[in-house]
Amino acid sequence: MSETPDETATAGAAAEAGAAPTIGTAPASGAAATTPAPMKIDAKLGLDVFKLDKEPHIVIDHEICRTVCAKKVCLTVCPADLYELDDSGDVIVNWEGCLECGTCLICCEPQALSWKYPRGEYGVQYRTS
Amino acid sequence: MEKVDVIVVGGGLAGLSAAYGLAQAGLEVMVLERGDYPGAKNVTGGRLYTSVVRDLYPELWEGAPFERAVTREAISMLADGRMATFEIAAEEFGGRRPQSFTVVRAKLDQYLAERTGEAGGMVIPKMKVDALLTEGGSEASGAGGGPGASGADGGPGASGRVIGIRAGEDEIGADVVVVAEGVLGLLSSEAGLRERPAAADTALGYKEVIELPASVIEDRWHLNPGEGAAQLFMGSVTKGMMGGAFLYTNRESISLGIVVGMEQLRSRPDELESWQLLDELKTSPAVAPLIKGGEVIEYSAHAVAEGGIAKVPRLLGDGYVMVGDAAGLSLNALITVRGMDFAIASGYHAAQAIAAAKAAGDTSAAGLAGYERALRESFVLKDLQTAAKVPALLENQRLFTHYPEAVTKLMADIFTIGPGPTEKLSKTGFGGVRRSFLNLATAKDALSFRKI
Repeated sequence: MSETPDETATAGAAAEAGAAPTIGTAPASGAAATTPAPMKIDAKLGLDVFKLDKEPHIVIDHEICRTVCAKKVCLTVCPADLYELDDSGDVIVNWEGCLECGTCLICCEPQALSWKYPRGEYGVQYRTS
Repeated sequence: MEKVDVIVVGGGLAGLSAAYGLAQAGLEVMVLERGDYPGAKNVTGGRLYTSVVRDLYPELWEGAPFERAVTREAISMLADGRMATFEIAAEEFGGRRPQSFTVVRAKLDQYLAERTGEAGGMVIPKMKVDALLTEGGSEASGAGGGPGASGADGGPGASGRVIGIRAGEDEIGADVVVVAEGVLGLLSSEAGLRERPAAADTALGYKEVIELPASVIEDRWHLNPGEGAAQLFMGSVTKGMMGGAFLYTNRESISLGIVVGMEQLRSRPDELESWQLLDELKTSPAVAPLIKGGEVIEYSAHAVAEGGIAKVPRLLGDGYVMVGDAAGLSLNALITVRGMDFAIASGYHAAQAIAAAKAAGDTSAAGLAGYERALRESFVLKDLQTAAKVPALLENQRLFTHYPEAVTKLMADIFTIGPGPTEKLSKTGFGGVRRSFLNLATAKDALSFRKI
């Protein structure tokens, strides 16, 4: 959590510093040297309140995942970036940081996900959204 | 089995609006909410159009914890490092009866829950409903999504009467169940009351809440104290995909986020990850100054129903009504994005119809039919009907590529003084319009825009 102020402060300062010399000559993305590193997704999730259950609320059917699924869209659609490949190439999900939007469930065409909401009082608890 | 008059599944705006009205009508109503508190699982962009719901529960809105009355509206087109913004500040947006307010759901939903409690309703947080119970002992498993979901053969509306709910080991009966479970519709699709949401009809919305002092917000967006701004961004922000970005000013924070169509998102040939769109927007030179010095305090995401009227399921049946997002009642009309007003109005009309049905002793589909009639006569289904062609229109990729590119290029050209001689403004302007807006593709678009 402590990285937040630093990173956003850097974002502002760098944008300001980058503005002057690039006016009129560079495309918007041209200020590459001064573009601040975006806040990491893990740091963003670190700002949220999660109450963790012992059991995962998302379970992947690896058989379907391995044999039916050609395009692992779960790896890219999740706004919390929770899906990744393990060493053996299987998809795994770090369900603890789930924002409960359901995007993976809706986008998984072969229906390889058993996806339910966490049990009552568990999971993310938004305070300011 | 314990039994009450009405069970409301989900303590969001639709569910609480229904419960408040039912409690006022003297019915025994129980709201079951899976979050720690109402609003804990909810995400808005967020702005609520109060103009359309103010008269439904007039006493509710005076003390409601709204953030800022939106008095400035802006839409920005982004392309090729350019941003063209059209802004309108209008006195009629604000004044004594502002047409809309920015809101934070954790605050607003808890406020409605408190008012519901005062009216005699029971709001129980930390209580997740696992299944809707239907007559004949059939019960949806509540296992959520996954292969072989029930209802495939019968289709929506094929189930028997809804008679209650199951939460863990507990079963509770009710004369009427108000299904206010939200956009994913896990329970109602399991029970065969609706289809599961499809990627083509659903968008992903996600946002950061960024803290800024009130004085900075008011200076940065040119606002009087208490006033707010709403800004939409379209164009390169979604890389050609249906959607855009939004910015709403709260009291001491801003909500900055992205909405992007799920079908487009999952069909991308490249490795673009959804969450990257917001980071790119935040670091773009046009937007970075708006959030300078701000501290991110929360990151949230939610699905958005974008199927329009065509995807609204059957709204009621024996022993149940569907309200809010669970009934697909939301509308992305490009410039105005609505859902919470529909949720509140649908909850209100559900409460009136259920109270009437209870009084008449008939809570079958026929007895509850007043709910659908009221929704058809109200702005909810009328506005959704008016916008019936919008979802198809939004699939036109040129809206998110060609037009932002053309508009920003034209604007930039008009304001450009190059090293050589400058042509007449009329030539730059008309030439740009002719090149970008007068061709077969745009003529076709113009015809389709006439339908909205």
